Amino acid sequence: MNDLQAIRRVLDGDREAFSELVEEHHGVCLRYAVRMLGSREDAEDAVQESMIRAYRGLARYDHRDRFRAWLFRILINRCRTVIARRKSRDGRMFAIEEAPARLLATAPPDIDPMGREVLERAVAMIDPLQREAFLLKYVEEMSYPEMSACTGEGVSALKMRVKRAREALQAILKEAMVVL
Amino acid sequence: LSFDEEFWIRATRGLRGVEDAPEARARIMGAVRRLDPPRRRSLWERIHEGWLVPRPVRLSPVVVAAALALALLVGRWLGSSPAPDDGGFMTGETRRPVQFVLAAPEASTVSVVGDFNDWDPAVHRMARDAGGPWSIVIPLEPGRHTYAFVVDESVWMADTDAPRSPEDEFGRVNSVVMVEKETI
Repeated sequence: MNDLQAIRRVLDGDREAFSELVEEHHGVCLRYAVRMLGSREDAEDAVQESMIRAYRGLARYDHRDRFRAWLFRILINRCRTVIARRKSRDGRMFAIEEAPARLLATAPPDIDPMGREVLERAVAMIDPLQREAFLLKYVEEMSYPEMSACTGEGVSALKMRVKRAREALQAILKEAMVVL
Repeated sequence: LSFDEEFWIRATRGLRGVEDAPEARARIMGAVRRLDPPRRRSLWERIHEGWLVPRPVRLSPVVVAAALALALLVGRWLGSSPAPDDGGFMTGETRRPVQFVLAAPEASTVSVVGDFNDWDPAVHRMARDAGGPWSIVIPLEPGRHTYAFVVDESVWMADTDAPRSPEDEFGRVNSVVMVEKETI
């Protein structure tokens, strides 16, 4: 059953058909949310809320959109809200609290394939909007028009954010390697 | 270690694996079962949202050009729309050569970065004759482009001979070049 068939069945009253959509998209959504929020627990909550919002608003889904893009729009907004709340609550920008010193202490000299953890931490340290654009481009492998559709941002702004994210990550990773 | 596109594609492969959580999926379906099924929109709601609520419309440039050409032809045929004085209309979005020049005699390398090359200094490296300014000619699509120079792969500078764009979100000031559309 493809996404559209599942959506039609849900709208015809078959709630269980929504599990097809959950099975299909939960993993990808969780991956994005974990990388974006840096906390498994927060990520699972954000994905759950996004999927329930999608379920409630399924009648408003426009079948000309890809369902994944529509769902990601909801999820991206949810993650932005979580980050904004954290920031206003305790002034903390990121969920991952590892200080740079800890990153430096554990950084391997080459980040492929050993340095996944180093890169994870570096990604968690950069500006959230840059992180968002970086993850959508390199981890979710979206094109810039897809990213634009999901985030509501212009393609030029997204390209700039990806470039800045790469610069910021490069600086962190280089520093880590120098210390070693 | 080169931090190029290939590096980031390779490095981020490790970030694609996140263990899925069957119990989290079960929680979602548990919550869904407690909710009312989403209601299909009525015919009136669909008509209202589809035709009466203002919304942005995205059109392909080809469709717009075809519609304009058709309107022009119909107008001429009806005799109610005289041909424009210049007798022409815009051609397709063909790129036009734009020369970028920077006098930086002490520099070892100079690149142009802009929205046309993803702000990547490796794409458009400028060249110079002995003692002359750095220059490069780049074909650009018609429209507004923002750009800057990167000197010695580290110093970011705007073009002093071009209009400035407002500060970008990172506080950098870039330059603006307007590329006119070619008409026939």
